[in-house]
Amino acid sequence: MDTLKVERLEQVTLTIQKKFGQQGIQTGRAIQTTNTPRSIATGYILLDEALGIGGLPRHDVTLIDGNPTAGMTTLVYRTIASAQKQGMVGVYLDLSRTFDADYALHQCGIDPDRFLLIYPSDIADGIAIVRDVLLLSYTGVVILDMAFEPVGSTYLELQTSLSRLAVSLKRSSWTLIGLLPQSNRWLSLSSSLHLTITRSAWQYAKNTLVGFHSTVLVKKNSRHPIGKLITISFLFEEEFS
Amino acid sequence: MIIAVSLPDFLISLEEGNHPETKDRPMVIYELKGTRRTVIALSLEAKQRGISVGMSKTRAYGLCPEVVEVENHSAYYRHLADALCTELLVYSDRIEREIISGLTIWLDLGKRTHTDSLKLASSILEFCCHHAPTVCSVGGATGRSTARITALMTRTGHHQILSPDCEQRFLSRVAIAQFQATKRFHEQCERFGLTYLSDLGALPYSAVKTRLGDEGAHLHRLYHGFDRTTIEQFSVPLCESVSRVFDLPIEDKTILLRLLFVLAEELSARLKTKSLVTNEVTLRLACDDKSSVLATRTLRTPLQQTKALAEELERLLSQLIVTSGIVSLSVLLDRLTPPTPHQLDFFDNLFGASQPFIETAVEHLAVRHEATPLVRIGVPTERSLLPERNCIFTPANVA
Repeated sequence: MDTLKVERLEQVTLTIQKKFGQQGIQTGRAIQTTNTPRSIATGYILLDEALGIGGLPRHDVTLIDGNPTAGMTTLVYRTIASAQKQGMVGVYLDLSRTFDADYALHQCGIDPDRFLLIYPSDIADGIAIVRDVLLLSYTGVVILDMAFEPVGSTYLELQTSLSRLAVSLKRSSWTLIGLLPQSNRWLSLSSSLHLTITRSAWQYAKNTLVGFHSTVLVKKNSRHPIGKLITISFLFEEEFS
Repeated sequence: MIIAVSLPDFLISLEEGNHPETKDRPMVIYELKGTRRTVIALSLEAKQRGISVGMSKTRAYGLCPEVVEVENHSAYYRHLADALCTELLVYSDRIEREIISGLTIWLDLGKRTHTDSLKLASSILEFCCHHAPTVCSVGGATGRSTARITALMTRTGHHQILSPDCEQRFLSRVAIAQFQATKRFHEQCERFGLTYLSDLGALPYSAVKTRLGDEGAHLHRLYHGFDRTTIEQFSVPLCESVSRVFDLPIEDKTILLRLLFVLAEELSARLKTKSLVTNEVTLRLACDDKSSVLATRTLRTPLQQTKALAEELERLLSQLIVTSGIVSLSVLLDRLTPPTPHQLDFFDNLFGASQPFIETAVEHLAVRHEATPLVRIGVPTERSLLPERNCIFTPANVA
């Protein structure tokens, strides 16, 4: 574009902004640089860097699977705490009935005033609640914890529901994180990010168990190259900051 | 009975306090009317050099080239006038104020005897002399305009209350030339030989209306006691202010900006608690050399958020020229109003909405998912010895 056209465009932009406010009109560049972050930090710097956008993508579906005690829930709790620090709210749909409030609040730093815990009866009920949560005029993160819920033959229905939710998420101010019992390539289709967590080693200090190391495999990432393996450590007595 | 308190040097005395370096020098405050700047207030020194209220800037400079021009801080004057009116609420809740070149405050005391009114006027005079930054005079009459004329014609530091039967006698001695009116009106009065209000009042109303227009008709009605304009109830204006005084003068801009951010945070929290937005921001800095500078900005879009307020204060700070260290700082948020939903603010409101989240979410979800347990997690004030009992689960969808 020649200089004259650029100047005219800037002139028009300024006039509209003066009349209708800063958000009346914005150039794509300005939106990219000034608007709210595109991601929610997980609290683990190595993982955030490996994901390419500095965390889990906003307005999208992220799926996390792994074996029990691999650190899935810790990762999710920390993500909620991090989102709350950014001014967001958290909704946790606990299908597995494993939510550890003491650990979440005191160790991971979740703010209870901006957090709602829901116990849906089954996956269908959970999906229906998520759909209604997306209509709330808040910016937040929804966790659908199915880590201990056998998906079984319902995965096709679940995949369809998640695909529909992904479309709704794009138009809402919410982000969905799903916790799965095992890796499922059909479900992976409906997400933009899929992580698999595996516990690699226990961590000791003076013969006392203080935590464990886990490896995170990026199985799907629509914004960055996949196949990365990141090792993160989880400490039991780690205080949130 | 209506009491009028006249503070003719209100604006200039405030500016003299802000600019001690202009002491004993002619000083004027201008008002911008379209493209023309006219004098609205002036110091005694400027008066002695022939400058008067309503004069254009060019003419004032022609008469006195060394005149000091001070910016018109209307928001600041208004705020102080409102503060004075708020203090006067102990006398009456019906109070009105008017700032033109000076300040006039009217108080409606209701039906009172002349003796009671005299006592109250004396008390009000004492109160105003103590609280106001300048000298004042108090006048009282049954009508609003008559009370004002009485206050203006009374010596400063004194009070005068007219009893209803002697009001006309008082007005008959008032010269027409003392009223602010058009040049044409004064010329007509001179041509017809009308010097005092009694001369005008002696003429038939229709003749005055035809020959002298609305201004003449108004003065005719005033003379004959048709001055029944009531005083409205005073509502305390909504404003928020915060100030800081420093032991050591601050010269570092980084510290100042950080401090402004902290003040913005405090003010934003207050606005959020009251669910209000501000439409006008004033920043006032008092310097080490006893001078003070202030800048006011009327906002295009109302503000409430900390970041936006801090940015606005930073912009105001960049406008001010400070020559020495800052010893005190104050921020005033004026013209507070309830926030009105604006389409373009929708996305801003989404991010960090101020309503309590859990209540809103439960209200929304409970309609369709009545049977689903929605749980609120609470932290007890006293922690239990058992770690698993540290958090309290309460059903959120049960009233």
